[in-house]
Amino acid sequence: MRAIIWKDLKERRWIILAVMLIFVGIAFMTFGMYHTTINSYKALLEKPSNLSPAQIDSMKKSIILMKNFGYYMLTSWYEGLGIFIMIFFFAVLGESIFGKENKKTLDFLFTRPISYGKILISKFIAGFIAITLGIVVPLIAVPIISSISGKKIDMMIFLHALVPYIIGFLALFAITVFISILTRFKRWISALISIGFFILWSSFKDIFHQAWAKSIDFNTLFLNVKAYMAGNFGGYLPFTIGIGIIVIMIVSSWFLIEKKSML
Amino acid sequence: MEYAIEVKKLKKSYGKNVALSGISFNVKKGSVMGFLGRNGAGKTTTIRILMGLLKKDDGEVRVANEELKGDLSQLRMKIGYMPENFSLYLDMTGREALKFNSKFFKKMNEEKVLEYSKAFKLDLRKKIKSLSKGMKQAMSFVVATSTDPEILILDEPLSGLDPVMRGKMLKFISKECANNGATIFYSSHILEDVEKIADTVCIIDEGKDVFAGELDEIKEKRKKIVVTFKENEKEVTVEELENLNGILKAERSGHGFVLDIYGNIDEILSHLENMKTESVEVLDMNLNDIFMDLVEGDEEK
Repeated sequence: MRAIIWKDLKERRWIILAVMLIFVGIAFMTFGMYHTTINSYKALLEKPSNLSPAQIDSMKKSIILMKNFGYYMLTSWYEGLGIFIMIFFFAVLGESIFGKENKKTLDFLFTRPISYGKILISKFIAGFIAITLGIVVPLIAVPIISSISGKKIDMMIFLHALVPYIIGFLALFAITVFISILTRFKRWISALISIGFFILWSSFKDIFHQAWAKSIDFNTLFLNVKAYMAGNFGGYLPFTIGIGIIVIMIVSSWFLIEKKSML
Repeated sequence: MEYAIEVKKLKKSYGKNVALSGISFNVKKGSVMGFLGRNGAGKTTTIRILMGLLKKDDGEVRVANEELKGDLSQLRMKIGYMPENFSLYLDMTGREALKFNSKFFKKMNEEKVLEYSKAFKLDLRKKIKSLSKGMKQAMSFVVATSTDPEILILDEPLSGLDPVMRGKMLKFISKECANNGATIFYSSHILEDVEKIADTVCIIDEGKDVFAGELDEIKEKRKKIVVTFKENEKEVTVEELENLNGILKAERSGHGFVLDIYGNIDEILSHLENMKTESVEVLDMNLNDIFMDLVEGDEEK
């Protein structure tokens, strides 16, 4: 299994590196945007006579929400430009692991003395490591940028908030792989379905966000990390669902290959 | 008799397209079987089923005395497989590919690898993607044989090779069988090559087995006879000849007939003698003639 994981990662090292660099770049860009937005809100709030009470209230809430650069980073990063890069990353990664172009080399693996299950698990592990390296590692840039700029970042909140996102991405990747097997390695069908899944995932997360936002006062929200997580990231439910999706996708992929011979 | 591969009434369809409609053949342990058929005859489908890459619809398949069910990883320890489409990782060097392969089998015959790669003039330090088509085929063959498999399944191993490389590969295929006692099952279009090294042949066409058996046996039984009959005797007709046991087809040729036969030659000659022959010439058929005859005959039927 180690041989397959290592080979897959080695084969895809350039795309992983490229995605890492792009995301570090986006982190710097977002930091600039973060400062511009906060400063413009603060400047506007210094002259509240020009604003309606509703606008003032909204800006104050936004500033509280954006108090943590880590949170701002995640929302703007993963729900903005980053998502398109990520979908592309998943499509390429999913395709390159179980894609049509790779079918011949898959035949090589499937005719070696190793069970299909182990091959599949190795491929998933390689994909998960690639995603973690490509997307999570650049997140180190966030505290680094914060510390350079003298802004403190609440790492606990940041990391806790990050977990459901990561799980979501791994689930997204698992779906991409499954669909690419189901559709007999047609990468763009799987990429489109993955985008659909992401939209659903985001909407689902937002429903939780709104539900909590109505019931919890924003000023006390930050005092409770758990409530913050639940309020902004849907708490543990998306996490559980994400893990569930990953398991279901792995088992379903195994079923397609092992039982249905969809090679 | 011990068989390395046993196939009985194997069936496989892709939707409405029937790829195999009940083919049967056995490959004796330690023998070389040539698996012949036209494009689309079902050769690759059969090989992919033997390798467990495709599931059969019906029939029985046993490889190394094991049914193809469940986890085949232990069975695959005994098999060396060279697919029709090159399947090694292109960004690996030859040496890396061999090492990668040996991690699954936990063995590699280094001496053999060196011997074969030297004979093919294969530079194992080069990236596979930089190799020519023929060299890639040779690389694939070296990888397939590097683990000393009991059974070697080769799908069109000689296609795209120049005559020198072909000759070398044929020599090594024979050697795998003679020296290592491996069973070789290989598909090919190049019938003269099959004739050189195969003990048995299986000919399939449009998913049906047309012939499966010893090569010598078919060459002994399958012949052509050019015959003329004495003029003052009763005129012999095509129908009369085709009704004789062992005569598959009779055609008029000049004053006489050309007969395609399958069976005991002495018995057939004795039947003809009773019809007052003037001249009889028995012609041997090579595998190419036999193949064309069987496949075209099948098409006519």
